[in-house]
Amino acid sequence: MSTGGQTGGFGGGLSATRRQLRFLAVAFVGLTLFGALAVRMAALQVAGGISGGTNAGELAQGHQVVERPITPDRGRILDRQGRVLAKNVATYSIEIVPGNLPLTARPQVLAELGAIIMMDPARITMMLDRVTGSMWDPVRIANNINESAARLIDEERDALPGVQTIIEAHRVYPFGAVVSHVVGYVARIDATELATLSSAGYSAKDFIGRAGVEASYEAELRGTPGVQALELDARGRVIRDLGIIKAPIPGKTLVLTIDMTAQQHAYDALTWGLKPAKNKHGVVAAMDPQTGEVLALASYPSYDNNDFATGITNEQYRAYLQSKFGPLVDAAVAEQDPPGSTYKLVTYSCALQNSLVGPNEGLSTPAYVEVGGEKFYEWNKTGFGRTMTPAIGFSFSSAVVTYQLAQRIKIDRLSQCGHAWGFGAPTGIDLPGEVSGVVPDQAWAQVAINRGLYDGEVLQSALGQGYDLVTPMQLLNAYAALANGGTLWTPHVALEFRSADGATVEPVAPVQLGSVGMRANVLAYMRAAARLVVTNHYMHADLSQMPLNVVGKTGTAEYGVRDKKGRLPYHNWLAGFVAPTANWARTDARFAYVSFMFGSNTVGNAAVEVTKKFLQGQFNLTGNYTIPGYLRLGNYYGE
Amino acid sequence: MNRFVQRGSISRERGVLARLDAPSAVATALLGLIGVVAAWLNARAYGQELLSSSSLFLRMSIWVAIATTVYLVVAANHWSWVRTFAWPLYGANVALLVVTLVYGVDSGGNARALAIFGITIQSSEISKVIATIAVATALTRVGRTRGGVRDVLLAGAVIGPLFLLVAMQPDLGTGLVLLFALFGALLFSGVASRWLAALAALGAAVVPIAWVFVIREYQKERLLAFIDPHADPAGPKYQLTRSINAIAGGGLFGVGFDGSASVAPLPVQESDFVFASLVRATGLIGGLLVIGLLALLAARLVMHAWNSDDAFGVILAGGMASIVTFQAVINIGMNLGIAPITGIPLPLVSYGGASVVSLAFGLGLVQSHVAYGGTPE
Repeated sequence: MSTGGQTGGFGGGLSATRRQLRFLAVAFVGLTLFGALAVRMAALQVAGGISGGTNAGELAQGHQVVERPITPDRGRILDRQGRVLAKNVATYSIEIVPGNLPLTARPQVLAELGAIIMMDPARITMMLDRVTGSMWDPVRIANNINESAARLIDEERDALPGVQTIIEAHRVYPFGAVVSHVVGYVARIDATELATLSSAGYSAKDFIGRAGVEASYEAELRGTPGVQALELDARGRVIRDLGIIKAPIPGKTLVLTIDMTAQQHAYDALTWGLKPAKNKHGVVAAMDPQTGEVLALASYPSYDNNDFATGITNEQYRAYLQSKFGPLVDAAVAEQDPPGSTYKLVTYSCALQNSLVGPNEGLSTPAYVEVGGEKFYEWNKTGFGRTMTPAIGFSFSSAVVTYQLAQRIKIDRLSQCGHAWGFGAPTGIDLPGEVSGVVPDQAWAQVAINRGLYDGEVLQSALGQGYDLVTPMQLLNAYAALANGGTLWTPHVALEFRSADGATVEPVAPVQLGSVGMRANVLAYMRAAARLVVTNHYMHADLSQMPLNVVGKTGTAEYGVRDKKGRLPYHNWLAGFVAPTANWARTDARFAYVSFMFGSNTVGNAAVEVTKKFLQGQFNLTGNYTIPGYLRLGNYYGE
Repeated sequence: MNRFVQRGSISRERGVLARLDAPSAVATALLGLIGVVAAWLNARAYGQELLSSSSLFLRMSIWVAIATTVYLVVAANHWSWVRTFAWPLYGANVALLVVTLVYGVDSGGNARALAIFGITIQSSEISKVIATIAVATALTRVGRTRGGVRDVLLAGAVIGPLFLLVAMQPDLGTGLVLLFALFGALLFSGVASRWLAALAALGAAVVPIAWVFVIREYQKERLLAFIDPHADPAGPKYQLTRSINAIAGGGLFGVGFDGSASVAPLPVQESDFVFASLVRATGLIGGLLVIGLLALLAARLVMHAWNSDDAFGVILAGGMASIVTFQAVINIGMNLGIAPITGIPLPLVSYGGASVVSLAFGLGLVQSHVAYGGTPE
């Protein structure tokens, strides 16, 4: 101190001693604070990071913190009674990080690993050598290994450098092929999808819905990914989990309108009906006409969606792709076929609505109608030799009566009526891959076949042949609209979404697709006529013995190429509904159905027998009303 | 006290600069230099072109150059002018805070910074030094008796408007620095211990009230983060985890200046967490150097308060010591996970023109007081 003063300078109101004490206190506090900072810093460096594991040296060697997405738990899929159709289970996979497996140790490590997972070490070597990317990117060696093998590998970790077990959630579909076309499947995201979806938080290891509701409700089922912080060493290896920055939000539980009891009956009836004639392809579906809720949707051939859950092999996938009738295709919505006489619903209602025929008008039934110099025969080639009201003509599925109506309706109005019943356009069902079908008119013909329609082709269109194409779902929806008084609902398989904890429930409201736009008495007439179809003893479609107020319309649709005897193969159809009472003026039916037997060529109408089998199961009937002999292969050309 | 100085007289033979307190001048200069190095480090970490107009490095270099000029000019001239202009400066600061409140925005939507010609100015930073000068001026009017409760009330009246304007931005950190500067100024001015105790008690009583009624949720989250940063690594707590891991990763000598480019960027690592990024690069040695320089600077300021022979010098030096110490302890403490996250910059090191230049101004004034001596009453 240059002034030599012992108590320093200015002291305000304080005595020299107090001032000294105060400055000493200040100095002490200041030193303590700065000292504490130094000590804390040194302690951190000795102790390592905040959560312990890492010591200072490691972060010093260029470790870094990265953020990785956490895949949320995918939502479960339930049927309307809460039965589980899709859930997640843990599976174990094996990966090798080539950079962590010294080349010298490779032979014995791969030999030991191969012994544990029962895999040829040479094959593992090949998989490792095929990799062109970073030697720190893990290579997937085996999927879905059993838990004990995974445990063993974990225990042998020291002897198996570079080998790691991965626990992943995989989809399990308890009902497999029975309902796979509705549920669909998930598969690992591919490079093209990843390019467009990485902005939505998908990573290369994620699964994505590829079919059924797994695809159509991907966003809801997937949930929201979380974010996890990881510490990597200088070579990019994960050293430490720094915890979850953002917790993933699990996907919603999807409750389907599907009733697995109905679904099982539909699937069983379908496979039962296909077997005698060794047929391979068909659809049975059911719907609640009051809401458009799909109760059952069985499509055959089917596939086991569990095959995809843990990664399908190339051979297996190719087998599915090359299999006839495409098991992966949901024929109910993604396939269109001629509807045959089931389409007469359009023709008859159109004529009645437009007063082109009276409800009690008698129409003659000769053996054929001649149009443009060509003879169009009745299906029995002889005619019925009597006059028929439209309802009777409908019940005998008379071609000639239909031709007469078509000549009055003409093509433009016929196609309008076809569209009114929902044909020729997608129904908007919440399943992927739906096709729109074809309702031909002159404008369509100019584009599609480069000429106008001939008069004969108009007649064919009136009975669901020629260019007419429908999906089973469209036909089901049309007969559901007949049942409910003319409302076309958008068919849907999603009933409601529940949060993963079940706390919130969002019902899926029915959406009206359109209205048939026909008078109530026309629709009631058609319901009564459709009852006559299944009670007409002359026909092979007699459901009159069943204790059900069932109505329906058969269809036999020729397609393809004539055989040596000049015969065409044909599909069988039956579409209709079951009402609570036999009062056909009422519109309160809760069960519409469609059965489609592709190329059945059976003695009887196979779709009728399949429907009987389905309804017997569905309505717990004790009697057996089926006629198995009709399912034998034959050359039946009747309706 | 500087041994070259004969207090009360100006020696023409020796330049003014030679009579400055060398240790604190060196500490100040080195801290500014470290600030430039840190800005360079972070500009690289953010992938900036070093000489682009938005480069942290270029901007901090310019600010430090301005601060150096301010420091030298203020130190070389007799400090007494600042007493004359204390109230105009104070008024200008209040006006700037009001303008900031009305027109200012920052990325968080709070009215914290004022953008003038593309340069954002945090007017609250300036208020710390201005407040200290204003309090020192107010408490040393000629003919006042000192040490009583009237000093407490007067100083409170001076700081109050600044505190309210800063708190309304809301800038919690600067508000706390202002309160601590007030406490420091009164402590060094010789106010009786009972009034200081009363002031501390008042502060302690206000905390729970402020917690409920004034402090916003995000501020609470930040304030609480340090208690258990690992409990929920999201948000501020996660920032803290990163900060601590960066510091722990520095080791004894650091990862060097190349390593930090690969680390995940720390939150606001150019200002709030500048210490963590420095320690990661330079290790325990670098961290101790920064702490040591700040401690040395604070110690020299306290020593000058001890030796000063007039009240203005005591309060000015004591107030600056309080500001430097409080900011250093809270900022580094926050980087180390032992103090709440409050957005208080590290003196002279954190990026920010207003902070660096205003501190240089205050420190330059103290140096002028060292060089020219006080005005004994």
